[in-house]
Amino acid sequence: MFRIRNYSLALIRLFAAMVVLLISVPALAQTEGQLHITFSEAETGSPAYKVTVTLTGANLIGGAQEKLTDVNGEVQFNALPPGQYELEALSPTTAAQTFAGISIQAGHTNYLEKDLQPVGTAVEIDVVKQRAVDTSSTTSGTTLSKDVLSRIPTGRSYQSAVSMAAGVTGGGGNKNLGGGATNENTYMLDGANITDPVTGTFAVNFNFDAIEQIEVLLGGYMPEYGTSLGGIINIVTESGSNNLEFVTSVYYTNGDWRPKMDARYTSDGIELAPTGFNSQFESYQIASKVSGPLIRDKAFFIISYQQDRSIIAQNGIPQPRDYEGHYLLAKLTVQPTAEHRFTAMLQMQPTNIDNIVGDPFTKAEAQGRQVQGGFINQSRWQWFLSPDVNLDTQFTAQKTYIEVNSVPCTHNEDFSFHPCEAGEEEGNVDWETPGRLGSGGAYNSVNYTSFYFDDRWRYNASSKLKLVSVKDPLGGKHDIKIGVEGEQTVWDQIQGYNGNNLIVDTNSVGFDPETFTNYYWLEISGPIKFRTTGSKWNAFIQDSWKPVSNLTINYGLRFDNFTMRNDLGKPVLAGNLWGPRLFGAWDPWGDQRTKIATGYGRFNDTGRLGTASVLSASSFGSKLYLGEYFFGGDPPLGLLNTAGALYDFDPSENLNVGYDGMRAPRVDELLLQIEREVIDDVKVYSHVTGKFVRFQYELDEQNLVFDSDGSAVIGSRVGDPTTNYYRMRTPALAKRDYFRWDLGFNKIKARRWQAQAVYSYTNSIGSTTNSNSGSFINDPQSQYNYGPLNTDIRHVFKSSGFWDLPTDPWTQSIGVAFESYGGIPDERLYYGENNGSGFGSYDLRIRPRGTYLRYGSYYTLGLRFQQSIDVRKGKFMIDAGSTNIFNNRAPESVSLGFIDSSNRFLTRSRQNPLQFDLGLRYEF
Amino acid sequence: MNKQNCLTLISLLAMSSLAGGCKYQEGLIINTMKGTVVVPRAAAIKTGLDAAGNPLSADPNIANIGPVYIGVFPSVYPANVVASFPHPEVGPQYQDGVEGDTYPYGGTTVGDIRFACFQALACKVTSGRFVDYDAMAIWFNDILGQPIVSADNQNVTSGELIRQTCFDLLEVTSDEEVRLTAFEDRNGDDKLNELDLDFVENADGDFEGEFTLWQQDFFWDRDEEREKGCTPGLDCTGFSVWAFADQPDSVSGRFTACEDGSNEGFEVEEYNHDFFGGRSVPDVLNRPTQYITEGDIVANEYLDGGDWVEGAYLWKDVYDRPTIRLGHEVSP
Repeated sequence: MFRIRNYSLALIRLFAAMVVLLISVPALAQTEGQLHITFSEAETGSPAYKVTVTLTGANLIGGAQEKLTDVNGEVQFNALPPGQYELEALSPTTAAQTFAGISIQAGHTNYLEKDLQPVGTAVEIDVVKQRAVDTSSTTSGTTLSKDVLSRIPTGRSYQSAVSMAAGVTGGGGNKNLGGGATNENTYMLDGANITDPVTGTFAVNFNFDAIEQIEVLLGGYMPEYGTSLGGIINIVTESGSNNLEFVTSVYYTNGDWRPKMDARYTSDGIELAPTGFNSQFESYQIASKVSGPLIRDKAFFIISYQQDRSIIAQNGIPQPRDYEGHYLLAKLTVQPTAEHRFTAMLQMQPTNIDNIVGDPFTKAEAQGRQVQGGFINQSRWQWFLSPDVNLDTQFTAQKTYIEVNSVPCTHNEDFSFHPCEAGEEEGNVDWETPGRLGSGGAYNSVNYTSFYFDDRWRYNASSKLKLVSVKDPLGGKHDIKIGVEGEQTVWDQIQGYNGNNLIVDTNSVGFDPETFTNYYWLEISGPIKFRTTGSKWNAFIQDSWKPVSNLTINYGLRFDNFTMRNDLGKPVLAGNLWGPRLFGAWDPWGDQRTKIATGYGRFNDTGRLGTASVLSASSFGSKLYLGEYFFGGDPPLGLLNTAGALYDFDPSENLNVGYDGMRAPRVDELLLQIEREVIDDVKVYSHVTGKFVRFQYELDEQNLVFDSDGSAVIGSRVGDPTTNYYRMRTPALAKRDYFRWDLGFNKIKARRWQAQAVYSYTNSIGSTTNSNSGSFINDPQSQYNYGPLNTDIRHVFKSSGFWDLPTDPWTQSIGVAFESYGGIPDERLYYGENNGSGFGSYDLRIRPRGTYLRYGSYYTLGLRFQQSIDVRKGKFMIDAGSTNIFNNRAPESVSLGFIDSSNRFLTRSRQNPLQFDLGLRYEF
Repeated sequence: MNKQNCLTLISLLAMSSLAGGCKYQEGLIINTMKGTVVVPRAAAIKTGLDAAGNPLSADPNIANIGPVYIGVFPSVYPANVVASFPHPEVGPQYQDGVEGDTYPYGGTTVGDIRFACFQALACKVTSGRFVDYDAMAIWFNDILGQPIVSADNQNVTSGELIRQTCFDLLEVTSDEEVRLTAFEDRNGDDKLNELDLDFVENADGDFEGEFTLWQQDFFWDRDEEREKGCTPGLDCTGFSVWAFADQPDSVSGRFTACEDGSNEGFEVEEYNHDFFGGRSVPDVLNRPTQYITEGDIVANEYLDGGDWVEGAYLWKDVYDRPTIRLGHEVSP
C-alpha cells in the first residue's frame, strides 16, 4: 500500500509537471544561485558523511535550510536568492563549525571544499574566502554586483553600467555586445526576455537601486538563456529580505560646470564649435526604495520609485530636449511552504520627452513630443518537488508604447515650448495644420510634421524543470534542466501626417532667409494602421556534468520555432532552429585556482517584428507637387495654386518581397579561456573568442540595373527605372567574423577593495553591420561590402576599482573607472550620379568599408567618492562623482558623406562633456 | 535512454545541424559573371581634320570609345528586325510613340559617364579613357577642337587645373577618388599608363575591355530544364548578351545617352554659375533604340573556340567568360 501510494504521488507530480510544461511556455535566465559544499574530516581526509548542514541568510526566503551530506561529503543548496549566507555544520564526529560570508550570485554555483575538525577542537567562525576563479563556468561575460554598481562611476543606469564589461563597445543606450549589432542583444529581467520585440533594442528604463546584479553574457552561455547574435544583459532585481531597508537619494548632474573655452582643437585638427556658454546639460534623479519582510521568512517585498529628468540643449538649438521619466517597481515574493515560492512583479516607466528634434533650424512650434513607457508584469511559481527537483514557471506580459506628435501648445511665455495661438486652448495638439520642413538653412516651422502611435506587446510563458545532483553511474553528478517557452508579440502602429500634407521649404541661397521659398510639397494618404505579429516557441535541454570534481562539461540543445506575420497576417519569416552547445571547463590541479575552458555553441536569431514589417503590404501613398522654387512668380505661387504641378505619384503599396529560401541568421562561437589565481583573491586570465555570424537578413534589389561602379542607373528589370523593388534574403555573403582576445586581471572584493583591468584585442570584419543594413541593394557595390566593421576597435582597455577606506565608523569609499578605446574604423562615401536612391547622393563606396580611416583613440576617466555618516537608525551618505574628467571630447561619429575644405570629416557628435554629479542618500 | 545514448543523440543532432549549415544553398543562382568586350580598332580612330585643319592622326585613341553599355536579355534579334542593328527583344508597346521595353535581366558598363568638373565637359567624358588630366586637356582642346572653358570664360589648357578643380568640387585629394583617369595599376607593372585604362590593344590591333556583372541573378529556360533535364547555371540556355558603345557625337562630342538637365548628375553651385554635371539616362538598356545613333557600335558576334560567330552569346555556364565584339557600326 505504501509503495502504491508513493508511486501514485510520483505519477501525480509527473503529470502536473507535464501539464505545466505543456500549457506554459519558457525564458528562464538565471535569477538565483547555488551553493555546493564538500566536507572532509580534517583528521582522516575522508568525506564527512551525514553532516547536518544548515544554511541561513537574510535574503533566504522560506527560512533556514537544512540538509545532510552524502557519502562523498557533498551537499548542494539550490534556488538561492543572491546575497550573503552563513552555514553551520554539525555532526557527531566533528566539531560544530560555522562558515560565514558565503556569497551567492545569480547564475553561478559557488563550490566550496572545507575540512571539519574533530570533536573537541576549538574552532572559530570561518569567514569564507571567495574564489577568484569559477572553475566550472564556461560563460564568457561579466557579472556586475551591487557592490560594483554602487561604487564605480559609470552612471546610474544599467545601460551605461554594462560598458564596464570587456567586449562591450559603442555609445548610447544600446551597446555592441561581443561584436553584435546594437539591435542583436537580448535584454532580460529576472529571467524573462524584455527586449523590444520590434527593434531588438532595450525597451525599458529601470530603477537602478532595485538592481541586485547585472549579468553581461557575451558567449558560452547555456540554452536556457535564449538566443542572441550579440550578447545578453540579464537584470536581476532585488527581492527583499528579512531586514527592513529604506533608501532614498537625490542625484544632480551638471555638464555646464566644465571649463569653458571659446574653441578647442582635437587630434584630427578640426576646430570645434565653442564648447557652449549657452548650452545646457543637466539632469537629476530622485529615487526611493523600501524593502523588507511582510512576514518573516515567508513574504518579502520591494517597492521602488525613480524619477529621471534631464534637460539637454545642444549648441545652437534653442529648445532643450526635456526628458522626464518615472520608473515604478513593486515586487512580492512569498514562500508559504518549503515546496512553493511565488513571485509577482510590476514595473512601469511612463516617460515624456519634449523637443525631440535636435536641429538648430527648428522653431518652437515645429518641435515634437514623444510619450513613451509601458509596463512589465511578471508572475512566477517555483515548485520544489524535492530538495533536488524543482519546477520553475513564469508568465510575463510586457507593453511598450511610443506616441509622437507636436508639442502641445502653451500660453506660458516663460517656456520656450510651442506657443499657443491667440484663443487656442492650452495644451492643444494641432493635428490639422501641415508641418513645414526646412532645407538649405530654412527653419522647420508652423507645426510638427507627423504623428505616430505605437503599441508593442510581448506575452511570454515558460516552464523549466531542474534536476540537480543526479548521480551518474559512470561517475560524477549532473545538473539537468529542461524547459519550454512560448511567446506572442504584437506590434500595432498608426502613422500619419498632420493635415495629410508635408510641405518642404528652402532658402534658394543657402542660409539666406531673404530667399525663403516653398520647395515642394507632398499630399500624403491618410493615416495608416499596421498590425504585425510574431509567435515563437522553444524547448531546451541542458546539463552541467561533473564526471570528476575538477572537470565540468556544460552541454545542451535548444530548439526554436518562430513565425513572423506581416500586416496581412501572412507569414513572412519563419524557421525551425537548432542550437547545440558543448563547453568544458577543466581545473588541472584540482585546487580551484586554475581553469582551462573551451567549447562551441550555436546561437540563432529568431527575428524581430521590425524585420517582418519590412515585408508588410501597406505604405503611404503620396503625390509630389513642385513648389514656387521651380516656378518663381510674383506673387509667389501658393500651395493651392500649385495643384496643377503634380510631378510624381507613389502608390500606397509596399513593393518589398521576401525570398522563400530565407533562413534565420545564426552565430557559431568558439572560445578558449585560461584563468589562474596567481595570488589570493587575484586572477589573471586570457579569453579568446571567435564568433561567426552568417545569413543576416538583408535586402537586395530586383529592379534597377547599375553601371560598372554603381554610380548610376542604366536600366530597369521591370520597366520602372525610378523605383526600388526590394527582396529580403539571407545570403551567405551577409556575414560577420569577430575575434577578440581579452587579457586581464581581476581582484575580487577582499580587504575592502576590488579591482579589475582588461585589455581586449579585437578584429571584426564583415559585410553587414545589422539586419537590413542596405549593403546588398546596389550590386556593383557588393565588392566593397566586406571590411572592418564599427566593432573593429582594435585596442580597448578597461579598468575599474573601489576602495572602502578603513575609517570606521564614517566609511569612505573611492571608486574609479577608466576606459580607453582605440580608433573606430570608418569609410568615406562618394558622390554617385543617380545610384537608385534619388537624384544623386553621397553614398558610393570606392574601397572596402572601414578602410578609409580610423578615428583617434579616446578615453574617459571617472572618479567617485562616497562618505557615509552613521545617523539614528541608519546612515546618511554623500556621493560625489565626475565622469570624463579630462573633458576629452573626442568624436564619436562623423558625417560620412562630406568633408570640409581641409579634407576633414565633419564631426557630428562627440563624447559628453565633463560632468559632475552629486548625490545624497539615506539608508536604514 | 541511458546517458551514453543520450550523449550520442545530442552529438548527432549537433553534427547534423552543423552539416546542415555548411551545405545550405539559398536556391538562387547569383554569381559575379565576367566577360570581355572587343571594340574594333577603327572605332578608336577619329577621322577628319583637327582644329588647325590638318588630317587627324590615324593612331587609335580609346578616348574615342564612349561608355559601353552591356545588358543581358531574354533574346537578341539580328539587324533589321527591330532596328537596323542587332537589338534585344522588345516587349509589347503600351503607349503610342513609346516603344516597347526590353526588360533586361541585368547589365553593366565598361567605363561610365563621369563629370569632369567643368560644364563644358558635362556628358562628354567617360571614365577609364584618359591616362591623366593632361591627356584630357589635349584631347578636347587640341584634337577635338572643343576648348574647355571655365566659369569665367577662360580656356582651360592645363590638366593640373582640371585636376585641382575636381579636387575642390568633389572635396577629394587623390585621383583614385575622382576616378576619371588611370588611378590603379591594373596590370601590375608598377606604372600608371595607358595599359591601366578600360580598353587595351590586343594582338589583333583591336581594343579589349573586361566587364563584370556583379551579383547577377541568372535566368534560364525553364522548359528546357523540365524537358531535357539540363542543369541551370551549367548547361541550360540562359540569357543573351548584348552591348553597344555610345560613341561621342562627331560635332558636339556629347554622348546621346546622357542627360544634364535639372537634377541630373553632380550639382555645381558657384555664385552665378549653377549647372548639373550629367549622368546616364536611367533607361538606356530598356529602350536603347532611343539612344543609339549614327556612329555608335553594337555587338554582333562572339568568340567561340577562337572563331568569331555572328549573333548574340547565349550564356549557359555562369563561370564562362564570353568575349563579344562590337562589330556593327550604326549607319544613317
